[in-house]
Amino acid sequence: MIITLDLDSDVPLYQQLRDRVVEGIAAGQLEVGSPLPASRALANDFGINFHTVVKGYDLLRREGLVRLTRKSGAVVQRDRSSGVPSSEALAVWAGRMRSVVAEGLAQGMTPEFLLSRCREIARSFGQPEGEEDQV
Amino acid sequence: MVGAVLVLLLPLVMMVAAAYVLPSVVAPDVPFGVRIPPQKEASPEAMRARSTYRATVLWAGGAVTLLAVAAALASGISLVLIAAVGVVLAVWLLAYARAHMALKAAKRDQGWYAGLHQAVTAETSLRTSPPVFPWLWAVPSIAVVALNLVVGIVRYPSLPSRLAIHYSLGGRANGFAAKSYLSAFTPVLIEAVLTALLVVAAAAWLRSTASLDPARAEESLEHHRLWTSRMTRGLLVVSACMNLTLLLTSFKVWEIGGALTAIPAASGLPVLVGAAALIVVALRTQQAGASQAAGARRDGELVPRDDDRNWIGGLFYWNPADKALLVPRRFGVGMTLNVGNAWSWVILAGGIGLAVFAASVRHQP
Repeated sequence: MIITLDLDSDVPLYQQLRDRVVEGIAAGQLEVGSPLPASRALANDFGINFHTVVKGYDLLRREGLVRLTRKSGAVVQRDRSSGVPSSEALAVWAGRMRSVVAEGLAQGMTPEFLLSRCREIARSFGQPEGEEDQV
Repeated sequence: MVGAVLVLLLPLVMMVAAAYVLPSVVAPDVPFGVRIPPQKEASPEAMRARSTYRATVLWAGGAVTLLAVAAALASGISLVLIAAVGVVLAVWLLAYARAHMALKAAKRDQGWYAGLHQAVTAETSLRTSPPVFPWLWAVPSIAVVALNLVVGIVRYPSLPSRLAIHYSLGGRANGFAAKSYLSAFTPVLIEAVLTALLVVAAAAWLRSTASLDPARAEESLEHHRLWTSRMTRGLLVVSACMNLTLLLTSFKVWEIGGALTAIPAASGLPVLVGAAALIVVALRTQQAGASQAAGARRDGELVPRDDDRNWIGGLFYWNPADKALLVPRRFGVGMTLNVGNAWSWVILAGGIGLAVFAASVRHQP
């Protein structure tokens, strides 16, 4: 999977790394069992500090999306077919979702508009097999 | 004397041709060792740097070549060839340096990276399932060394007690060594060492960090795969050619091979042909990639990171943070040592020591 980090962005590099991996899983490019390179190797390829990659991997680990391997790499352990997330993960996600929804409402969007945009965005990550379109 | 003229002419012409062609062989966004944004690849400054370099290389290099040939034909001294090679290299270096500094100045004075977001791009599968080393392509190279060794073992007992190890332009022997395992098998030893080095270099090339363009990541990844695949295989072929050249040299020293080794230029041909073929393959691969890139739409404002600070003069790679020992050259075809890595100095010292040792062995009265 191709990962690009914008060096001149306001978003920290470890956060960008975490975000790209999450998007990769959402888009089906990464699945349960997909390996991620050893942090030193990936840091070397990016030409960034090794600790930045470690921090990014750690974020993913705490979210339960990857588990770290002995070889200092990581393996994806949740994807779209993994079923309902843990109540913790759901709570964290709901908390962030609350801010995003509030932003939309504050800007004047109606709930219906908000929902339809959310649906579009969810669809943009593609449709894995066996998942039904729930209206 | 035709053979002598060829011996002089061919390497010099090849060097000038290689120097001329090189700007089209290197990645277009790193001209003359200077990293530039892809948007500036066709800028007037880049075009001018290239045309000036090429004109210098062609005219000065051509003049030196002609002078060297004339001087050698007149005097019959092979030293002229070595001097000419040195002068052509100096011309090459100066032409490169001028282009390098002109581009660096343009980049700085015109603020080429202002307003652009620099980014780094990596493909994870290059590390989680790296490409397999093409051992089959190393077989010819290793086979030649084995063949050379076997022939040498068979021939050794019947060798004369004094070996002619150096020949003049006219084909007469003018350097000798007493027969010993070391003096007789020097070519084989050199082949073995060179083969090992080139296999290591090829492996390093295959595993080198991909320089991907964030605005057209998929295509640049595809290009990287094709480029490293072809170049590593090409390097192994060049290794086989080098070994063939050394094999023919050894046959001459061992006084076997007859007509094949009688022509002074014959032994040099395999390595020259191999090197020429590698450059042609490199050129065509790079041109195919460039024409594909020129037509592609650039996605957003992301550009590859300006990593000039890791390169001294665009020629020497200095990066203690990079764990790689060998990295692809910026201006050239092949690998270069990471001088920021301490082991590089150990290797350099070892290499110099080996060369001195080999030279001392050969020049015994």
